Amino acid sequence: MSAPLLQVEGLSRSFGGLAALRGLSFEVREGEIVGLIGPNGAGKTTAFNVISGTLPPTGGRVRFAGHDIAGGPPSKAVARGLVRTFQSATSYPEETVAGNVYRGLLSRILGTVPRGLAGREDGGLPASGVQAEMLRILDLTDLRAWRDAPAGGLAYGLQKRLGIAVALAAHPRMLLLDEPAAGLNHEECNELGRLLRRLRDEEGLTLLLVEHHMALVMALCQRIVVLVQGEKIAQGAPDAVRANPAVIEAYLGAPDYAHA
Amino acid sequence: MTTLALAARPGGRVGPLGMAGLVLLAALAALPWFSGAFVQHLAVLVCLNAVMVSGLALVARCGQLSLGHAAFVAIGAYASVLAARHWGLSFLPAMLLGALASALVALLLGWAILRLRGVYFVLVTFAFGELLRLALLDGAALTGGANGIAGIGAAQVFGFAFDTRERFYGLALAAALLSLWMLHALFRRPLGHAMDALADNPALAESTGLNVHRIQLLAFVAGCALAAAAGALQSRYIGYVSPESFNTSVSIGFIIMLVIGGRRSVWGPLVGAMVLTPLPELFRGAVQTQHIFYGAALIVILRFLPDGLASLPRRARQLWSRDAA
Amino acid sequence: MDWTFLATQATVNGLIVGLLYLLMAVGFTLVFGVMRMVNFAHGEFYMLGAFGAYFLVSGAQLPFMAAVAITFAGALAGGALLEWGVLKPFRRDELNGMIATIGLAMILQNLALMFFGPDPLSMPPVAEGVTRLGKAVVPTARLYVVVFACAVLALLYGFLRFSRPGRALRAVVEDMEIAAIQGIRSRLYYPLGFGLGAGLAAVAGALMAPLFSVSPFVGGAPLLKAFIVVILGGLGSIPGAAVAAMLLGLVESYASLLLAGSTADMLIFAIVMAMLVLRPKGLLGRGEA
Repeated sequence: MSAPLLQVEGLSRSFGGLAALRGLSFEVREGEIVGLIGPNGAGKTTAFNVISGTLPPTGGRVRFAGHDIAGGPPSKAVARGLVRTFQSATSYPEETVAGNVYRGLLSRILGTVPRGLAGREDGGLPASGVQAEMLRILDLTDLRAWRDAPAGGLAYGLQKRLGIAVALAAHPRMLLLDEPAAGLNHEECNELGRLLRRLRDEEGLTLLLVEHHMALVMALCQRIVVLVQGEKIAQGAPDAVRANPAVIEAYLGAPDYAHA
Repeated sequence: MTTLALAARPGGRVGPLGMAGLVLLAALAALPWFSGAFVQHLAVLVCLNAVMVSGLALVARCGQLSLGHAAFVAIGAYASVLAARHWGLSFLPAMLLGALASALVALLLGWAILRLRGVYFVLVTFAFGELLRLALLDGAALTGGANGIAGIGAAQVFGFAFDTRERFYGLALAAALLSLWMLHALFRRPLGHAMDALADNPALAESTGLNVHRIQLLAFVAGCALAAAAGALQSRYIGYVSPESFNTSVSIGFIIMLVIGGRRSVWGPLVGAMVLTPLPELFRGAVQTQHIFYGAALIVILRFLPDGLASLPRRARQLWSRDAA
Repeated sequence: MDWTFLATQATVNGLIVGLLYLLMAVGFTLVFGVMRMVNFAHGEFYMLGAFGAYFLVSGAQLPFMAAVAITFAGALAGGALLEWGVLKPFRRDELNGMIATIGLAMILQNLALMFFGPDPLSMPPVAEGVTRLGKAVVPTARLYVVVFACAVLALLYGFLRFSRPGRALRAVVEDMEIAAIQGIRSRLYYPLGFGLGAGLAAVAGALMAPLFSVSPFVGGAPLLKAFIVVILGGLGSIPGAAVAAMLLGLVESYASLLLAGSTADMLIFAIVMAMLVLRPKGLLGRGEA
């Protein structure tokens, strides 16, 4: 059993009087693919926002690789190796695909701001290494053929893949993927599944996904955490969760849904 | 739109058209030395405005619009003049002091307000501009109040006095070229790319590890310091400073120059300054028509050419390649 | 020194001025609420309203209230037309929209300069003499304006509360997306909101034309006051604007009694800045900062 990489403990977040997250606790171990599911409004995106540091929690802790990262700024989480993707606005539309990946590399190139001013391209990535790293990421996500295309003109599925490529550029140990399969057709969804498995197997990444696409979640994830109204109501292996009556009632509905 | 050396791009660095443009620009830059006092005066103003608007461009590159930019020009002007007068500093150290003072104020202000959303940031900078103007009016003992400070001596560098218009034009031109070169150098570097990323998609930029707040702060401080240096220069040319030279209309003028010239190009501030500074002369006697033209031009540019006049070559190239493809 | 007299006078003055500021600001905050746009041309609509009243009363010899009503209608229509014709591309683009209104303001002010010249014109006052309110003394003309202003504000309240377009407008202000779901066509409400904002600015200008002189430059001060009131009260909140306007009027009134020169003005700007930094939503505002 590998060590826990991400530990969410008693996480709470309220907006005014509305409690979006109540005492959420779960962990993700190194090398796992974990799915976070739940009905709309359950608080999944809020959870991502708080875990990644975009929003501060109103209570609880988030620890990544043993370090406290709750409260942000997001750059703190990224520096430790926790990177998130977005559901929409996933790229810089006016930049080429290669340009997008380059921008993802920037925080590694810059190191700290004074180093950036001096023009030294070190701090995790030497100047000579930038080109190679860009190509490596483009190859990994199968985007090399589109490297000079403007990101805004890409097909939707490719844009989402670019979003993942940009996140990979930040050199994560763990990826938080926000509905990566949303809007993808069947074939694209299979490709996504293959990509994510490749990321875990070949790159040693740990993955936490928020997803509505049940078939993908069930096939891909080793464990699933079910969130309803800001609280975790179940977690476990896909089969166990699928059969859990509380989960079925709150979210999955009739057993046939799981096969959708 | 950044031009990445990393992305495969055919052709040399500066094509033949670019060379021709540079030669033309060099000719234009040399022209004032062969013209009368009036053209020289305009040329000086264009250069000084170009530097000030370059400062604004830096701030705007990070996605924020400052409606109090003239206030930082004022800080540079007043601080350098007072330092020269009361502490006997010569021009260069005084100018540096002015820039430093402005940078410090920008650091404190920026740290507090940069996280505000666009509209609110504009309003705070507007309030700051007004506050500073009132403070300058009130602090008569130090600042001379509404009358300002007159009789400011010419700029002297290592004994060489820039006391004629021809000489000062040389200094102003050097300043404009220097600021242009600095911006150009910045935006080829990773830091410049980071600023662009931030302006394009701040959430995405942040998620890849860029510290938005720190980078915005840096751009704000640098932009305000640049404006202050130009203010120090300007005070030595005009010979006096007064609060009304740095009011909100002046800040609005900078914004107009930046928007019409181009917010995303290093040439934008220069183009904007070149187009707008001499216009009062073309419209001599018809000041209202001139201002109506400004207003209309602003709206038209915003609507049809949001990246300003400086983006015309790029747009033309895009249309060309689309037709050719 | 009869301090109670001075204090009462200052309070009465402050409240009256506060009401005038509210009238100036309410159109501005409505436009921000509907369109999330800061309208730099707001002061120029005020100015055009003042000119409207001047020409209708002094030129066409119309009674004052009729002049105000016609000015309102004209500004409403004109504002809606301008929004639809010029500002439509900027509906989702706050920053550029704001800059566009700067251009609009320049055009409007300089058109006025071209046609009317820079010299201030004065209108005959609506009423003569002074009225006594307890210990305080108020010019009767000002009192008239206050009464009209209250009437206008009451009408606005009624419109927003009880009429269908008014309620729809409020819904758009509250939440654009929900309003769209409920079938309210925001495409209609952008011009309406902007037109209404312009109309309210023009009414303020028309009402105050007899009190102050009329010139193309009178738009600057109302814009400034509107900024301040709306920042303090919260962009998009009319009740907030009301509270802030009264406070501003009172603070200015007391400050001029106790502090020298521009210290009062500086204090106001400092408070505005502090407000924006510490509580950008203002006292009662909506909208994220």
